[in-house]
Amino acid sequence: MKRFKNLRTWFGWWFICGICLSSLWACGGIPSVTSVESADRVLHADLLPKINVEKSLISDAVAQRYTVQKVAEPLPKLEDFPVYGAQPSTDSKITYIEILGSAEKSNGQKQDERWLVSVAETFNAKRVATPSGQTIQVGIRNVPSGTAAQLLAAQAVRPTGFSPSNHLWLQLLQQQGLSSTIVTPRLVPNSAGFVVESTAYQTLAKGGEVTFERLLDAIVSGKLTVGYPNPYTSSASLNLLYSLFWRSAGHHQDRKPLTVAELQSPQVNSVFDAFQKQVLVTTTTTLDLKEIFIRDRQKLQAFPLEYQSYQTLKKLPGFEDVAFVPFGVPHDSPLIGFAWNSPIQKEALKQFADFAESAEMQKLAIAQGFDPTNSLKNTAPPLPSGEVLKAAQSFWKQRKDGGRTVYLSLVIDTSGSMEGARMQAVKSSLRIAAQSINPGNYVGLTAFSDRPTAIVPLAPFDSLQHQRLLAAADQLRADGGTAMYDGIISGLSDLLERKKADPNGRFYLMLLSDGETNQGLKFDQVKEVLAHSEVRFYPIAYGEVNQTELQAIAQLREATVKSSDPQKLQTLFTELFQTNL
Amino acid sequence: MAALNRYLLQILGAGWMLFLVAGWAIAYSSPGSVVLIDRSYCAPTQWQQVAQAYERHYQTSRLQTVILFNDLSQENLSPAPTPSVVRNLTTYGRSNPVRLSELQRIYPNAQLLNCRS
Repeated sequence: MKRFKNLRTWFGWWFICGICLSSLWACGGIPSVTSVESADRVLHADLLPKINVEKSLISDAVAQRYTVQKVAEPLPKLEDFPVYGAQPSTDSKITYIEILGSAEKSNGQKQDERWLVSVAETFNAKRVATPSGQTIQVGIRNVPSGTAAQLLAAQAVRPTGFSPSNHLWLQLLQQQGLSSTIVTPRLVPNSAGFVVESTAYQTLAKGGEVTFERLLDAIVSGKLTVGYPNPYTSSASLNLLYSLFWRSAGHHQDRKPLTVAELQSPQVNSVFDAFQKQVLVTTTTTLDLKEIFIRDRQKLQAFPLEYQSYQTLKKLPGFEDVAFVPFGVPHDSPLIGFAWNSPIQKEALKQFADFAESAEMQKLAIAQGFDPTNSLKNTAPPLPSGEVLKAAQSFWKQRKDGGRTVYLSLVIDTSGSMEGARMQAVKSSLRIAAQSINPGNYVGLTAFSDRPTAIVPLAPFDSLQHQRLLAAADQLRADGGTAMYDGIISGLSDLLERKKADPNGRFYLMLLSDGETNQGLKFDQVKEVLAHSEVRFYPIAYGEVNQTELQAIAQLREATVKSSDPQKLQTLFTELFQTNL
Repeated sequence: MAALNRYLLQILGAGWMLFLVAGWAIAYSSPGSVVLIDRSYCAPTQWQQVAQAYERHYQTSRLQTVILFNDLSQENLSPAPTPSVVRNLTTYGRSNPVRLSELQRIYPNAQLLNCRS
């Protein structure tokens, strides 16, 4: 009996040991990943076998039913941009004027970006009257300069005034036939410049004063990595692009403006190509760059910013030593009025401009970090024609990848919660944004709900691939759970396959999701593979989403999480495609 | 006889030593040559000719310094880069005659390599 008891005890111990060893073996998890090769190996050996990828590829016959005729890109809605100061009024005793103001001075929510709002509030409180006795009330609508210029060029809005960051947007508007009058060429002095990481700046400073030319030289000769935002929307970026071309054409010697013909010269092209090789990331907004710089300034060593935003950056702990190297045309915030303004509105606009230029308001501007020194006075390039700027933007779009192919895998959430307006917005946004893809770049689409479904294989973007994408957008259906990481792994495997054939390509995965993962693989299981894949992830948090994991995905490489909703998705898709494809 | 042999060997050894010292002195007392390379934009086929010319210099002369320059920049490389480095250089921007004249004034004996020569 005792012997049987001993045997039972022994059996019990051995059983527990066995269980422990089996658990340890099972929890050993994913083998270590240290390179893109091992990431690919682990993806194929350990992750793909755990997921069930459905194939529902769009056939060529179905794709060919779709036409790829150019669809007019819907414009952003003016109502989406907030008004600060006075609100629109129909009171006959009030002359209401509305000014579209650029973000660095018209953001009522931020203390250091609300100078024009503060001016309007002070002006409104004074209840200044027009000669006919009506009280002038000023509303400031915060619209990025490029977006406002786009709305004005399309004649979709009729504000009383427009104050972009710099005169370049006015040149573009003039080229597009919009008639306007300059109320004042400078509401407030400011400049654009490169924010430079302190160690890189100190290295450059050993050779003398760090000017834009010396910085440009360091960039094109491969000593500095930079990033910049979309020059179709960012004032600092448009200024940088023009300054780069102008300097490359040698006009710093004769001070003449750049011509369209010079943009085509190999001397100018070659500088742009060398510059682009050093571009780590191109973002949709300056805010994204700021976030990436704050996160990792060893990788992103310089990026363009407004002087007054640089002042804010310097206040962050650890960023006291970052340097600022000004470039290009001044950011003087000109104010223009339009032909549709009534004489009373014209008078009211003038009175407001005079008030903004008063010593008291200029003092307020300096307190908010604006640059009163006008340090670029003698070195600023002359204003180019709008035609040159438009050509420069197109040139950028065509040549920004410097001959490198871009591979983008679109991974779209089609879980049940996407039903309705969310899914409709995805479909229409895809149709519009597909027009911004450069031919030759690769695009593919994978949807995920309970499992991933490959719908459009990763292939060069041509007429047929465009048709496939349109057909795929049409066929997306919302249903089931959210196996997000299964979807990511499926999209990633296509990209890694392409990477073997083209190691120099640029590889992106755009992930759109409206919920948390509730099926399939988990973040911890895929994290190392994503981190070493050399693919940049662009997560879009669609609706009210817990962004913690999406943030972690974005931070694996130089990217940020984009928040969106059905109203804003089309603009975001277009900007992402325009910037990356 | 043995003393004579030792004496002859001493003379011969000293002679060789003097010969080596003289050779070393001649080689290192004369200044190494300087090559100016205009790295302004150059079509790839033409740049290969510049690279070949540089390779000849690299193999036949004692290069001390190579100066790369164009309209945007000037970079002094010492020791001289290997021919493969020059072959793979990116060329960009415009030529700068003012900078070239200034460099030629400072280094009157420098060899100039560019796309146009």
